[in-house]
Amino acid sequence: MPVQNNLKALRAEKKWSQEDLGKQLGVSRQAINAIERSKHDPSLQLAFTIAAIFNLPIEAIFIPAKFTDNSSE
Amino acid sequence: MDYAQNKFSKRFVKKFMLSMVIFLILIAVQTFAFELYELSMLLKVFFALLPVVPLIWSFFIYREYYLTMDEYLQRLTGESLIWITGLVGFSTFAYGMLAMKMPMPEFNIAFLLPIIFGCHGVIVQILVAVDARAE
Repeated sequence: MPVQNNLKALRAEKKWSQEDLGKQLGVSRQAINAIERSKHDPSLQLAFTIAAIFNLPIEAIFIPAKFTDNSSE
Repeated sequence: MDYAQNKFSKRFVKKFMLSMVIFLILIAVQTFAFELYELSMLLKVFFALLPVVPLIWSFFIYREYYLTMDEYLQRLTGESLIWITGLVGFSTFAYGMLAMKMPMPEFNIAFLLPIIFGCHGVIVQILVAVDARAE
């Protein structure tokens, strides 16, 4: 079960495109798209870097599936 | 794909295309050598295997490129390699099983490598497209 996140909303707040964020993180636009859609769980290192860029703790961006409201479990 | 615009991708494409050009030149050299000269067995082996060298180089070029990919593209590349291993493995196995029991059309196994290269690229594109598809 992939980790949910609110990366898309945070990125929209900053008015960054997926490519802008990807450049800052050193990853492709496809990687950002996949993370936003919860198709790819970022590595711990990448998650820390994302948190640092938004100046937020990791748990404010990434929510484990079992803690989400719409989880079927 | 926009990641193809980054410097690593450009470097990979340049090197890969160069290796393919060298491959084609060596195929021509090989053909002329066999057509024009009476070669000893040792030289026949040498000229027959000569085009393999740029292909081995292209393998290392691709490996170098793989190591520069981000974690997501590495994951998709790995998944694509699993798919292509399965497709080629099961098709050649099925061909072999049929060939043991009945006459089968001949297939030159030299075509396997370009098939693997080509299908791998197509499968990566499909995997990216599937992930990017609107939910």
